[in-house]
Amino acid sequence: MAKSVRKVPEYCYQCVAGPDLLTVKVEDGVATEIEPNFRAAEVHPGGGKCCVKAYGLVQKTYNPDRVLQPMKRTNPKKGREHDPRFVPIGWDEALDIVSSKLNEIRAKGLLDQEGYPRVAASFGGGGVPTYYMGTFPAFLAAWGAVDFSFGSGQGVGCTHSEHMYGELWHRAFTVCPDTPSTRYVLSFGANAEAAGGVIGAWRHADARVRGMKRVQIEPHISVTGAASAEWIPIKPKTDAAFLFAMVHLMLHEHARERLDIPFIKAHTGSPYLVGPHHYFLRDPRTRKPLIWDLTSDRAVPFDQLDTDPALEGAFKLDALEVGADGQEWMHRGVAAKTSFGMLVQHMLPYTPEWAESVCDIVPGTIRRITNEYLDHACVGETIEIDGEVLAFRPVSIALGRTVNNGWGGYECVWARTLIPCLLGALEVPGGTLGTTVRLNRPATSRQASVKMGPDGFMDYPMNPTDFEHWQSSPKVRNAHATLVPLSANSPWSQSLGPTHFAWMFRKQSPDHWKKVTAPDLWFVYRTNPSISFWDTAEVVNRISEFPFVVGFAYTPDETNWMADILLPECTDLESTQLIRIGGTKFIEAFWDHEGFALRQPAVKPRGDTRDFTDIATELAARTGLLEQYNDAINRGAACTALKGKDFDFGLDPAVKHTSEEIWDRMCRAASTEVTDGRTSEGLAWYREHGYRTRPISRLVWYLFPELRKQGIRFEMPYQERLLRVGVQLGNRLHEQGIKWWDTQLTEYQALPPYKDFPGIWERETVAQGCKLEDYPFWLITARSMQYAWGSNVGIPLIDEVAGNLKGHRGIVINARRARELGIEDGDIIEVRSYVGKTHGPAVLREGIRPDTLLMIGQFSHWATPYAKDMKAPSMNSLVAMSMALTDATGSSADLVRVGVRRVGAAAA
Amino acid sequence: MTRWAMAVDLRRCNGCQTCTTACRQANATPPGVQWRQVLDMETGEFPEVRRAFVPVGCMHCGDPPCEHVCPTTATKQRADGLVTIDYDICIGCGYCAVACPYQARHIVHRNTFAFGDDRPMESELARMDPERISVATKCTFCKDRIDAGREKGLTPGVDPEATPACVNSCITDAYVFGDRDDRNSKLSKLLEETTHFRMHEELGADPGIYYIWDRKATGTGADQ
Amino acid sequence: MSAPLGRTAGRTAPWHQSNWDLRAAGNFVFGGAGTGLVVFAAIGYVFGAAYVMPALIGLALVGAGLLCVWAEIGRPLRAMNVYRHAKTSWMTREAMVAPFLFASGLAAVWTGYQALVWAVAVLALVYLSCQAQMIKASRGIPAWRNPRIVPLIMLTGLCEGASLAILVAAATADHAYLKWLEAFLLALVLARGLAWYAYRSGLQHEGAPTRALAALSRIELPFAMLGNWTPLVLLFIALASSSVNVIFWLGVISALAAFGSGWLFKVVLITRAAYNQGFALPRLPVRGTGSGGPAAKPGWH
Repeated sequence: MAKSVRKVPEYCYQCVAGPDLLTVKVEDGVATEIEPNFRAAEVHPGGGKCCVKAYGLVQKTYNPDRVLQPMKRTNPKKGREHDPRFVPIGWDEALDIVSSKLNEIRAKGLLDQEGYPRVAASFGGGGVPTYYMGTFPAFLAAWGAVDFSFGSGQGVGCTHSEHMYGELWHRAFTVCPDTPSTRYVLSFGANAEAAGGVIGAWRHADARVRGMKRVQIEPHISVTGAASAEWIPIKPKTDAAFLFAMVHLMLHEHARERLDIPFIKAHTGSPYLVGPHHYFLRDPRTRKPLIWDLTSDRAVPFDQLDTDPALEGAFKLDALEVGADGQEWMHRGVAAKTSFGMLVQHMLPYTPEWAESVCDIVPGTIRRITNEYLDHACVGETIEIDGEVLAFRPVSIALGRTVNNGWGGYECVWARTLIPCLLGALEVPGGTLGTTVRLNRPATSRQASVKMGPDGFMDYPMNPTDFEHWQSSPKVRNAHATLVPLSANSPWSQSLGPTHFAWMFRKQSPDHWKKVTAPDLWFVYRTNPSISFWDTAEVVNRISEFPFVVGFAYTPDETNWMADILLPECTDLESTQLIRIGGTKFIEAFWDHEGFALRQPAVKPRGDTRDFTDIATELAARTGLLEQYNDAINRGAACTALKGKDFDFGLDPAVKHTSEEIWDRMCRAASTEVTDGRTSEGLAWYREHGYRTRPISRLVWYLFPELRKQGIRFEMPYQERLLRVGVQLGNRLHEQGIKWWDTQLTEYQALPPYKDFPGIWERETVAQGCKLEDYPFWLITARSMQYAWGSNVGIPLIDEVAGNLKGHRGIVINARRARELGIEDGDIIEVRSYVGKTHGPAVLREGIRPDTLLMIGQFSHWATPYAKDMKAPSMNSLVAMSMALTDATGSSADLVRVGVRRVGAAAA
Repeated sequence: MTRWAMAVDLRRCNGCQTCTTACRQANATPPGVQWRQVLDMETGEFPEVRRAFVPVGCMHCGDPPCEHVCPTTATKQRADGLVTIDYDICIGCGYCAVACPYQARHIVHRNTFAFGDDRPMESELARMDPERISVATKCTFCKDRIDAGREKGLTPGVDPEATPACVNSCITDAYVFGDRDDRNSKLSKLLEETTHFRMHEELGADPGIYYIWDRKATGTGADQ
Repeated sequence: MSAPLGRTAGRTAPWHQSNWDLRAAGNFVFGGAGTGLVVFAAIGYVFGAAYVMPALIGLALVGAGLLCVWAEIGRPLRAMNVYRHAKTSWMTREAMVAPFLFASGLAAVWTGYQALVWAVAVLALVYLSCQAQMIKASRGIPAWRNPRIVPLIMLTGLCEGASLAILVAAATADHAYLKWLEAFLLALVLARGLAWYAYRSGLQHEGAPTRALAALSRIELPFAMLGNWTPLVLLFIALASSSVNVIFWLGVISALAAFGSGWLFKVVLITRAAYNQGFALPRLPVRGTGSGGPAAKPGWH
């Protein structure tokens, strides 16, 4: 029997679906069990639970392969084949080495000869590591220019097009159904049951029992497909065809009365008239886009009151058309259609019969699904939320990765946003909702980020493409502001640029482009690009060229294998930090409360590890940045500002503060905010209670009321702004002689046509010198809840339980197809692309298309202890970093054509 | 009378293995020994395929085959329905393991550790139990939590402290635990309102886990 | 180091039990043959054949079987706990018969009293039936729990006993009642052959894991053909013959085939055909709408 038993509250933010809450049972000072924070069921939309990943934290803490003291590299050679020969050193020596390097850099100047920051930093996706790195963001803020371009897959392999277009159209960094009240969800590969987190899983289970129908449309039957009412095996990368066919049906085979005509007229850009050069026709005096008012039978500015805008028809008028780079045309008696009219015409060819030839789904199914969608839409119905009457439209569409990123991502996100707009189902109860913003500001409130912009649509912090302001010389190595206007200029923007370009251009610079230099110093934490990005063998080679790498380390891994210094942090249950919870946030995190939660040392830190906050403070002191660092903390660089209108818990900038002191003040600021100044309890209170919240209105979930209040329309269907941006960007690039972005420029279309998206991957395979028939399969990947976000690859307990789900550690292949190839269940097969090859046991299943292979998660480790012995295959070494496969927003997709052959019998 | 039993709502379960993991940890079972396990079952032929997730483990049967065959009375059935194992009496003959139609019993013959037998973790050493080596072990419905909880006046299935770890951990709210003989328990009421089955019912062991698969039949036969 | 995940994780179709191996099989192999031999030692005694040798060999075999069990259990030092559940456990009951069997057996060998000899034979039969019932009570193994396993296990025990009695008689030149033994063996292999088909058809009818049925099919040749029907024919010939050599050699060959196949059958039953029940769903759940799905019973015939 244990003498002392404590239950210590913590938060888990191992993935972006959180944060969630939990407690750690500590018996006689040893962490033994993870449990939900049961009390939190009062406020947590997932019953106070934490998912399977969090249960790995005990083994993570006591992992015998942890780096427990600072390490210094003694082998000057770097690369996969070069053992770093790390030797243990003391903290003083380690911090001295790092800070001397930093001081050296500072003396030279923060930017190198090409204008790039000398210091680079890479952290894992989605901002997750931010909540484990204490006040390190404040150190980086104090430092100055830092290049976050060297990605590990974020911004490229994630829901990339959804991030950008979603934020543009409805402040939706990610998109989610209004699960608690929706009745019908079309999910194109969105793996909610694997990636939706606790809250997603909880809400969808409730919805199912309530009778919600979810149709999962994807090439294999994922865990989400399993938990859905219907699974439709669509051909990879053809989702846009299905969506376009749906739009076609809504416009051409169903009566207009089935759509929400009043909504379309009043709250979208549908009535806007379009001129012969494809831009809006505008009032010459006010330059406002014109609509045709049926009441007065003439063209008037869109925001004129008491009009009945025409949705369709042909009209003649005098108007100004404004193109790109200030080019204008004054028209007299020009013939014009409405945006909506153009849309109707545009969608004419996209019949279900056409779609069948593209996506391999019979027209009857597409028609039935569209009928069901319309039948559930409840056009005209309303509901009361917190005293306000809103439209009730319980239908929604979710898109998954590989659908909403890479070529075709724009088309899919456009169609997915358009369909709700036709039914009044965007940003209203039951419908399709955005979750949060990271490109627009402030990040804490979608409503507050809504501002009137040009032409009656929302403002958007587009990176300039006009001659005067375009960033012709990139300031960071992935050139996001130069190449991707939609990537905006928020703290997240760098990570949302083409983060593979930094690696690619290091190997080979494209024409008329300044050299991409190696950073003088690279910080890397809680990320493993050598595993999680593409063409991983090459990533290792690029990292090996970096002169000085500082890895904040948990265990040795494939990236810190090339480090010069390893600094071991206190891991999740050994250190202190505060995080915001509640409100609405990525994936399915929709709360009726908001506030803060703490993570704290449940056990004494192992070995000679240090709290990241203390490491950051030391680095700041040793680089002469202590004052700036403390100021940054005071301003809110780590969690929340310490000074506000009515409170001041600010740190004395001249002094080194302990982690405990800093977080105590953070807790006080948090308490003040949550209780509206009634109390300012600090760390001790949070240590006992774990979290603090206050209720919020559910109206916060829905953005449409804010648009309606400000008289702003959804920028749908016609993308006039994007058209102009694309032309201007093209002009700027051509002025520099840059033609290698021309294909990407074709994505900037006001009404996107369908393109042969799978063909892009096929053509690239051929362009690399391969015969397509030698690479007959599509290789895709899927999320694993147990392993998502990488924290658990070296955890035996997780490996064990993940093994209960079919596909882990193997390659899923259609059973009949496998047998045709002489492959039995368990046989070792080799899968190869034009980039590389991998192998693993075949997992024969019925629930996958015969032309598709699946590798779950991201593995193929060769340095991470335990993981390297799993010998699990991964597609990342088979996928290229390629300009041809990059779309306009700078993303690509986890997709490649592969060949298969049997290489051995099943292991005994 | 009390009969502790469990309902698992298969409509909710998404195969996440959170309960499998919570059980492993709460009961400190050795690597590979899963008293609670969630299975991944696929049926049909492409493209008419279905996939379901099924939590399994000891069913705490009303007529437990294991109890009949146990030669030592180590396996007993309590008055409240729990089927228990007294590790001190068990001789590890494995007869109960072959008698159980649910494959719920596990016997390991040596201590093993997750990262290798030569590298036990503190958390493993703290919970190591030599009494559970070379004897039969299985899900206990977290009997220690139930008993300790009841002593404090708590209700198993309602108060988390008195409830099995798997039930507590489930992120889809798929589990309900309670007294099957109490018509007013949450469990009994849920079973009234839903359509359910038990596994291998034809073998007559009267298993104590009910698998819910649909709402109560409306009698119209119409699909929703 | 990483645990080999293997294909044992998350199994839904029946897999082979791993608790009882060759040592457990040994209990039934030696125990069945041994008790059978003790019974035929008693029968031989009536015919004036020597009792001591076959009886002692029979008891030694039973003892060897029990040693196998003791070698298999996890906590051998607690072996005496096996006596605590006579109320329902056939393992307890088997253990309870054992000391009486040995005590009376040794007494019978020592004294030669007829009553004791018959008592030992009866106890041997009781022991054999405990073994058969023990297997049948294993509700988790479809190939074991079929009621028709009981006559099959008992008949093979008696077959093996008769076969060993023939071999002992042949070895000790106690040929006087060899033909009687062969007659008994003929009847027994016929009965065992029929019991085998009854058992297998019972399994087909009730349903059993596909791989269990396959494992049993694989011994159709060595067990049924070579172990039953061949001895049946050979014994028929031997019984019809008056040649001492024919009677001797066909008897010995039949005996070897009959007891060898019996041991093969029991080893296969315990270590190759012992697939467990697996998992099954009579319905798949409704996921929001629709009617769910039909039953799933992977790995079953």
